Amino acid sequence: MHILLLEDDHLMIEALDRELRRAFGQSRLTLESVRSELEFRRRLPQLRVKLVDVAVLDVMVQWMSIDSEPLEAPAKDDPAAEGHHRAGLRCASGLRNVGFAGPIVLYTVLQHEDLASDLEQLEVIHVPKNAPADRLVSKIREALTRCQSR
Amino acid sequence: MSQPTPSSRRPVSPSLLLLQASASAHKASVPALLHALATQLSAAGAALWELVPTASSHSSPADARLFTSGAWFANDNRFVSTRLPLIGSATGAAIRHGKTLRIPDISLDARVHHPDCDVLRRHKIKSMACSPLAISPPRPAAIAVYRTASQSPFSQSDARRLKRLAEILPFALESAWTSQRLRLIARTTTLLSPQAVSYVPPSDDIRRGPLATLAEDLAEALGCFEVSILLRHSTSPASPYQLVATNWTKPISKLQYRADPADGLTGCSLQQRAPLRLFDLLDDNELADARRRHPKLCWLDSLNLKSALPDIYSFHPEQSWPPISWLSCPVFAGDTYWGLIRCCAATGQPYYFSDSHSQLLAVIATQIGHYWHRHISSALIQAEADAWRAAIASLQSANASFERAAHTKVPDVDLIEQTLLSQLCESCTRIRGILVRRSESPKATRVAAAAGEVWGRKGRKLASITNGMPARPTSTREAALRSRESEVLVDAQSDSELGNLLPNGTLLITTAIHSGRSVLGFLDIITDSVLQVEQFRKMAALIASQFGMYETLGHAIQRSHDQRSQTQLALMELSTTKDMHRRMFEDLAHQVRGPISQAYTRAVNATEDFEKGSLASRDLKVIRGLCGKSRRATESMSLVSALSDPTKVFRIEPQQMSRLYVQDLLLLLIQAADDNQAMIEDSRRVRLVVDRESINRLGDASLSVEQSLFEQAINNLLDNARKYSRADSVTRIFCGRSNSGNFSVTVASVTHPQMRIRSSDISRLILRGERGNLASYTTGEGSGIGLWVVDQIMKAHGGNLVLEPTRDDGITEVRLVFVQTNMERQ
Repeated sequence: MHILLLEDDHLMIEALDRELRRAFGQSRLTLESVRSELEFRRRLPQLRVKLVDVAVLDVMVQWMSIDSEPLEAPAKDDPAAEGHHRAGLRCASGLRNVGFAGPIVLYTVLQHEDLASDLEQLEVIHVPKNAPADRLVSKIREALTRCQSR
Repeated sequence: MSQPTPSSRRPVSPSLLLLQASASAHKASVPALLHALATQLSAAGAALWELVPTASSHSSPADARLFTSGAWFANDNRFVSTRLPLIGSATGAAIRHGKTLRIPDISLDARVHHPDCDVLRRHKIKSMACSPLAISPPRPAAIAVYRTASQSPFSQSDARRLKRLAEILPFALESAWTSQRLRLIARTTTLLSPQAVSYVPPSDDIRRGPLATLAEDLAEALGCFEVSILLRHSTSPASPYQLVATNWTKPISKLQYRADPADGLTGCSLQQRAPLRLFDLLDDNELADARRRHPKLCWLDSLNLKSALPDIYSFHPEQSWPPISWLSCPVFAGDTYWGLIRCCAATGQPYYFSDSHSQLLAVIATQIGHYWHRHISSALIQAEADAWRAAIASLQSANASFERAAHTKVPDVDLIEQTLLSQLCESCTRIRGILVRRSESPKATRVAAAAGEVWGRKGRKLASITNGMPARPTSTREAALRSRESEVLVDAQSDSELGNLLPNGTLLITTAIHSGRSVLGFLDIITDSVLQVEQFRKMAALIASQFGMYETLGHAIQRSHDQRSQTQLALMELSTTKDMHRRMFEDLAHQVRGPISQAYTRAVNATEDFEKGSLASRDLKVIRGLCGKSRRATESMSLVSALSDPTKVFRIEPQQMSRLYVQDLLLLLIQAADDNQAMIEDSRRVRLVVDRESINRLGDASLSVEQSLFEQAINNLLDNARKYSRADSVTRIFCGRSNSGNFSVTVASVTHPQMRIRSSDISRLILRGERGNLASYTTGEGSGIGLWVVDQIMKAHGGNLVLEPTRDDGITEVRLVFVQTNMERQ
């Protein structure tokens, strides 16, 4: 199981790592975490999408890490210049553009109605962060089952 | 009969006669001259005979008659005859043969047997002599002198003297007439000239004023029983001719005429606009002859003239009534026709009107024309000035009403316009009415009546203008719409839309009321004043534009009023919504604050129970940090809620001040540092270190603060340090005291070289919602209110937030400064 995780909160990464490993098995899970939109973009061309089973993306994600060298603001005409509030959606779109056909789960504090139009357009699954911890796992399982049955 | 006459003893002196006539020219008249002539011939009477004017041209000699154009008799000078035949009478014979005749005894002469000679017998005439006259203009005439039975008959010598006098008499008559004519012209000039000292305007009383005086003078000079002047006050074809002056003293039933044969000879003369002279209105032959001479002269008499004659000629026996002669002359001023002056004779000599009389009347009529034209022009100027004055006053009043109303509400445009129209109608006497027709609703037609004459009907269905307008406008309204200017219809009754509503003889001025490119309606002014049409046209354009402005402004104010009402409603709704949201924020914050604080406290306590370094201990620290962060977020949420209350000025005010001693401060800072440290990823190796020494150095000092706010402030600073410090760096928290004695808590962190804070950035960074340019891209959280909240908290404590520019070594210090008054020493 290979999960691509976009999350800028290290505490959340830590918690998810525990939860997912507990659900999918310590040794069978590969959790590839990406900490910012900029990093996601940089890694996207080298990403072996066929190896990724599912992508779990936060939506409100920082553009770059404070530890990035150098610090680089997005260009003025870059959609990222509008702010971090929809960074996860931009990354989801980027994933689809490079041919990723697997399930994408938006794991976010934003509510379903805030993202309704984007969810349909990008064919993504929405799981709110304030839902019970096993909700994310069950959604990932469901999505994977659907993908395999196609 | 043999009694010697004085003339026989006195030589005739023609020169003396002429001299006497000339010397007394100022009072000379036909009777006076005949009296003088009779005296010269010792005659009891003298008569001037002329051929009836029409007889010479159209009657046969057998029908020709002579009439008395002047007479003097010692006992009765009212000698009048109109039927003395030219052929068969002695006087006629003198005229026809051009010879002086002497008839010693008329009773023996067959030529003196005409019925009119009964008059001679009544005067007891015994002898007569007559001689032809060469009067000017040339016309058959003769002078006859008479002696009574008590006098001796005329001798041959008398006849010769008569002949000589007859040669001189025409000159004396002409001289007398000229004198009289000049006096009349001078008198007219005096009465009517604007330069004359005695000039007075016409009077409303037809028997007073300069024109009435002139009528009396003319009546006296020409022997008229009536002289009247009929003039109109406007050149409008429909304007009637008013009797403005007369010498007639008896009651008058007809004061107004039209240029129409239906209004009798006067109406016919008004229509002809040319001089008209008739010898005898009672003579059917004469009238027939007049109609032959003037084919268009055909009138209907409403007055039975014969029945009126006894009143006129009460002094005459019926058989000696003089001819009823008529002379009328048009009154012009330039090309403008104003009316006529009519003269009816005769109550005295010369009993008829000659060419010279007609010429005199023409001169006087011309002077009357100029006089009247000046009067009307002056009246028109006055009327125009009055009309404009009234219009301006009405417009000012309407504008003031509009302005007053516009301040408080939507002006009632209908009422303002109606008032304006009514005022105009009342004050402009020549406006018979004003009517406004609205395009969108024919039933909204507004009518203003003038002088109590209501000529319109509300709600009348008016024809509408179709989109496909005909090639030629069928109504004044269409013409006005097409030309975009005022249109004038001289005969208002011919208007296809309003014609049957309007009075006879009025003009219709129609103007479209525009608002931008659209036509709102039409303004119609109905007037009987042709002379003021141009003025009323301009007035109509002005009022129409004013109405257009009222309508446009009224609609704009109405729209603005509606929008304002809607905006007020929306604002009220928004305010209610915001208020509701604010209360919900407060409720939620209240609900969260308690549990979070409790969770945080329990996490702090639990941490102590767990073995340090264990996973559970670490988790608890994280939980404590998260709870602390949540607690601060809850407090910030309360602040945001307070900010959204528009009725209050936002200000953080400490509610419960408490004393914070040095050791308490140390613990508080360590706990805050630990909470934030737990939130930092280990791999970043960022440490938050409290400089205990710097705090301990403060000794027994204490701070007076509200602890929760102070915690909020210090945690906000550490939160920033946690998020923006460079990896592998130490953030120091220390306290100190400045030279001025102020106490400070400082957070000094290592800033990324690309995120250095410059002096110019400091004031901006403290503002609400502001963050460093790059900082905003390095976190997926934060609203940019952290430093602003800290600043507000410090101000609430009488202190300051001091943000220092990043030093060269990369350290940025943020300092909470408390003034000395907040500190106390134990």
